[in-house]
Amino acid sequence: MIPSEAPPAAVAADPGRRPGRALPILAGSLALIALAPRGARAQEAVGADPLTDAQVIARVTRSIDRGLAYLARQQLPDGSWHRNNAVNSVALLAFLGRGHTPGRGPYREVLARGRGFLVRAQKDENGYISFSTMYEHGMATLALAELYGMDPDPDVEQALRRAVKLIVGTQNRAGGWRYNPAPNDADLSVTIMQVVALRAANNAEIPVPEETINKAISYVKSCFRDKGFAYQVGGALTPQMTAAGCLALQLLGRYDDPELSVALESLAKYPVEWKAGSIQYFYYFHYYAIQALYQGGGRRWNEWNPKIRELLLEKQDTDGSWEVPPGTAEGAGTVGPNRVYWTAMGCLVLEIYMHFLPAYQR
Amino acid sequence: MLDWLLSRLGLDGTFLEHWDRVRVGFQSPSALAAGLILLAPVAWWMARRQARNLAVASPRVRRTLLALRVAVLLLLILVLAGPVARLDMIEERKPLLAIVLDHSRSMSLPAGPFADAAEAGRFAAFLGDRPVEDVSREALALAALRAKSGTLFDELRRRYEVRGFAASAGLSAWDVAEFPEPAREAGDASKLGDAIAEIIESAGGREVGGIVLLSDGQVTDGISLADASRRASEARAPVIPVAPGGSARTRDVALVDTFAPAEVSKGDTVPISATIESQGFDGRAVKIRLLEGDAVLDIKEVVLDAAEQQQVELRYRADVPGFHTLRVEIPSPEGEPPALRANNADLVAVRVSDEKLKVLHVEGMPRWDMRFLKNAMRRDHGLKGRTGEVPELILEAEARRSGGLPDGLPRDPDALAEYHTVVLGDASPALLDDRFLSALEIAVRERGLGLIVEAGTQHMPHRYGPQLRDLLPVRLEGDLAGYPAPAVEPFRLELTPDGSVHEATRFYDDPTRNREIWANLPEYYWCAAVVRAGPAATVLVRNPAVATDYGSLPLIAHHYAGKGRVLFVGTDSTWLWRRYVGERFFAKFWGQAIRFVARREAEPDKKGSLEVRPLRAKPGERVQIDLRAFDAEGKPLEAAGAPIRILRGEPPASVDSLTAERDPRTPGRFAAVFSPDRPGDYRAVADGGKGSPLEARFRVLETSEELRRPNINRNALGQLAAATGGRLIEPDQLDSIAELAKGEPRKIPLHREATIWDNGFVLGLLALLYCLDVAIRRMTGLS
Repeated sequence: MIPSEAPPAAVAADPGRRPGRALPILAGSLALIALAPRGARAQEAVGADPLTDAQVIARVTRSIDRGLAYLARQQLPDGSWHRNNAVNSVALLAFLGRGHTPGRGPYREVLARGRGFLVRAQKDENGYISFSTMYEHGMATLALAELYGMDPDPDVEQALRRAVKLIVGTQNRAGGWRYNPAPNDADLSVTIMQVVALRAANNAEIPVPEETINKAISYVKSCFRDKGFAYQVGGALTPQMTAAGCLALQLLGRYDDPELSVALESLAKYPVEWKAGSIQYFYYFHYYAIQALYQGGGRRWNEWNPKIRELLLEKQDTDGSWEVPPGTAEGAGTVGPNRVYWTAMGCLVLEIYMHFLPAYQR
Repeated sequence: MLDWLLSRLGLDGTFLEHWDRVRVGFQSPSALAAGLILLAPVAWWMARRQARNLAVASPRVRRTLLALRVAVLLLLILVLAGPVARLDMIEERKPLLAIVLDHSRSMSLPAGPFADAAEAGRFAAFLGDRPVEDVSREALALAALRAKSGTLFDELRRRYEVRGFAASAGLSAWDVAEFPEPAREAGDASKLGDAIAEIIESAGGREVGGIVLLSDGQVTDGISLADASRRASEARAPVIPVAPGGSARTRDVALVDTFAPAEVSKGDTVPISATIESQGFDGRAVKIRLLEGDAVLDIKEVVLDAAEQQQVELRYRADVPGFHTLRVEIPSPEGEPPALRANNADLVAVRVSDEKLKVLHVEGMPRWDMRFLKNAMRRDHGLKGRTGEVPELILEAEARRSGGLPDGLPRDPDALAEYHTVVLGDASPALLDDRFLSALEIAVRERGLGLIVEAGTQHMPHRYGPQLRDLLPVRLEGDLAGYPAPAVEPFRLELTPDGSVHEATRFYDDPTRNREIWANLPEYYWCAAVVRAGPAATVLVRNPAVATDYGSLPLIAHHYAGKGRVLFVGTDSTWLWRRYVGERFFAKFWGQAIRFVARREAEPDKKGSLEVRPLRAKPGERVQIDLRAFDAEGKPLEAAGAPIRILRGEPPASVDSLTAERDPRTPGRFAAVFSPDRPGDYRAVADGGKGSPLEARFRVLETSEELRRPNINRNALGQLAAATGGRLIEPDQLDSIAELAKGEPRKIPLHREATIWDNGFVLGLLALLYCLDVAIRRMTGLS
């Protein structure tokens, strides 16, 4: 089914769809990487002390804190950041991912207002927390699941249980989810958001039927082809969907599936760069890629994490926010150019080093 | 003579030094005036009486006697008036400036390498004829100080009281007039944190204008630099480190950290993490090896990169129960200086257990500690439930949803005592009702059930009564629901001396490293309202930000409640310990804590164990040997002592025989201490019962920790300076000490007063006058 309205670009403008110029751009990018110097970190390191764990923590923490300060300044009086609950949810998750929990610390008011907005945004009739698509609902459910247990407000628990019920009830026969809260069609991009939300809820001991999990596994695996994952069954594989598919299998407990190791190997080969290339949805891709590679661990993680970390640290603006790489697809769409979304996603990528969000524990 | 007389009057050196400003006064001038006014009529009256009563005496004798009595009266009037010496002056008080020379072994390493010829040239200026490449760090520091001894230090002495110290394992005075080489041999340890703390403490509240620290920044023992910087910061004493060498790094490959889970289950494959730093070997592939004895257990290849510390996970398959000493090593690449090869290997200890502890976890809501702990326990194959293969979890929130209390919660002592450990989270008294608590008390006190209580904001333990509170190793502030930290000033953790070596809170064998790790764990925003530790409780971790009437707040503590051990965790934020390292410290703490409190039971087939701590020691250091031995029937050995042999080298040669003493509190446990006198690979060998010999290995290295990180730790020195308001400077920038040190001599008005009658002199004078009076009367036949 084709949705009646275009999905929000920043979150979901079909990041699985393959850009037409992907191959030439990828080739060009690889050539540039081969010729390029190793970057500021490497240059600084000649004869200098190696970057220790403590220094990595300090640099990442400073960067995230600047990002969160920017987000706090952008929050609207009603507790939202945007008329899109995916944006509102990633902003909330960015605070939680840094270890700021309800009722404590410098952002207690920000969290309380943000939580209140999400709970109020839930529709009474069906528990849907979205102004448009299931993208929003999945992300909002994830935020509520992470809040649950740390926030004594009983409304959070109530809202979360209803949100989970809606996700379980809207899974289609193939095991996936699509834009609308109805069990009709499916794509991997929307599906992964529901999978992460269900995993977080399940980790909080909210029961999720085993049948739902098994069908989701089946759907994710059906999107695998060649060396990665496609947006929909039979489609072309894309870097965004390869990252999302890997994480989906990991969160669903399929660590030993042969598809996973193949897809992780191909995922680790994508370039980490600040420009329009093979990665059209920069933040979407890196949000899933770093989680998937962390879950995979080992050599791929060791090689990947310093590259994206240094890139984000280098590209952060002086006010603590992040831009989007020029020419990439997250610069437009229904949520439009949106520094809140980019900044929250930048923080969430860096927060992998914190290991605080329970949903993403290995 | 005058000085002697004044000192007899009770005036100290300050009065003597400023004698020209001393004034004499009286505490009670009115008494003096009244006395003097009365003295004249009294003298007249006495003269009249003497003229009548001593008519036979000559007038000269009468006048003498009268004069003596008047003198006595005058003296008494003066004493009554309270004569005092008063001194009013302006005193100049200078702040203290400490010059601390790191005199540890690592300071004998070369000052180089240097980034370039220009950097080497800067230092050559004050080295005279000596080639800069041949100079040690300490020699460079001394040369820099001597070059400035005339100009800079004259100026500093004008502003400060300059004191010198040499620091290594201890702090000793050092002559900063000539800057000689310290008399004592270079130390095998660097306790720079202790040195800073001691200087601040010895100042006794006096202003410390600065601490100039000539050091390579390597700390091997004692207080961490992070702690020391906090103390210096609180005392407002800027630390000005001087890096005595070049900014380039030594060509070296170093294993800077190894980490293993403390206890694993038989059959598990566990990661042994190794952290590598290298310099000068970029692109070179090296093979990191994991060995037990001579057997190679795993090999991982790493391509060396100087830009960042590299992490490697080696795999260890735990097949044989017991205490295993594993060695991680990096073969020395060609070109690495021989002196720096000691840091290419490290030892880690892993205890492999074939026992499975039964654990019950009760929680109120799915707070984050519960979500991480639940999974950590499920991954720990040494833990299981009473009936299932994973620890049992009872979550009150889920039970409430279904409209009742969970079925699985045992409410009789027998069922509870089937568990080894019960972990109680923030569950409400509705779930943990009186019946449960009664059963719990019996199971803990009488059956030895282990109990961990983790505090929470909703219920635990402030909403419970004495039934639960009496089991805890802490005393609480009424029903106060904990202390929140100010938003801008979160709480931090402070490991106690007991905690730094305790099996529940031991992340590393080395207590210094352990304290450093704990001090740097993330800050948190809430803790339980603990007032003090209970009687006979041991406090492992404190919250130094909250002071109670009994000292800083006990955060993690344990004690015995009857036969059972109870551990209290006064924060709900141990999930924060996952920052950057994931499970490492979080899972290790909880795994160790659950095992520490766990109910002990007689196991007839149990084998003995032999443990040695630390695994890496220095000559002269005390090595603790811990033996668990059982007899042929599997019962704890009841002998008064157990023999232990110490072997060294390959092939092993016996170097000592010890008798481990029985621990009266723990059947079958024996303890001994061995102090190795020289480096080498050592083994402790004992009979663990049933004829099976037990062996534990340890390594004694000359200055092992001193040379583990051979480069000047500019990061640590820089952070120390930044945290205290100082700045890291180079040896040719000593002039900037004058700008960086703070404080100026202060003029302090000084008023001093000393009584000058309450002394032997006045008493003697009085006695003398009286004796003269008596003598004259006797000699003239008047009495």
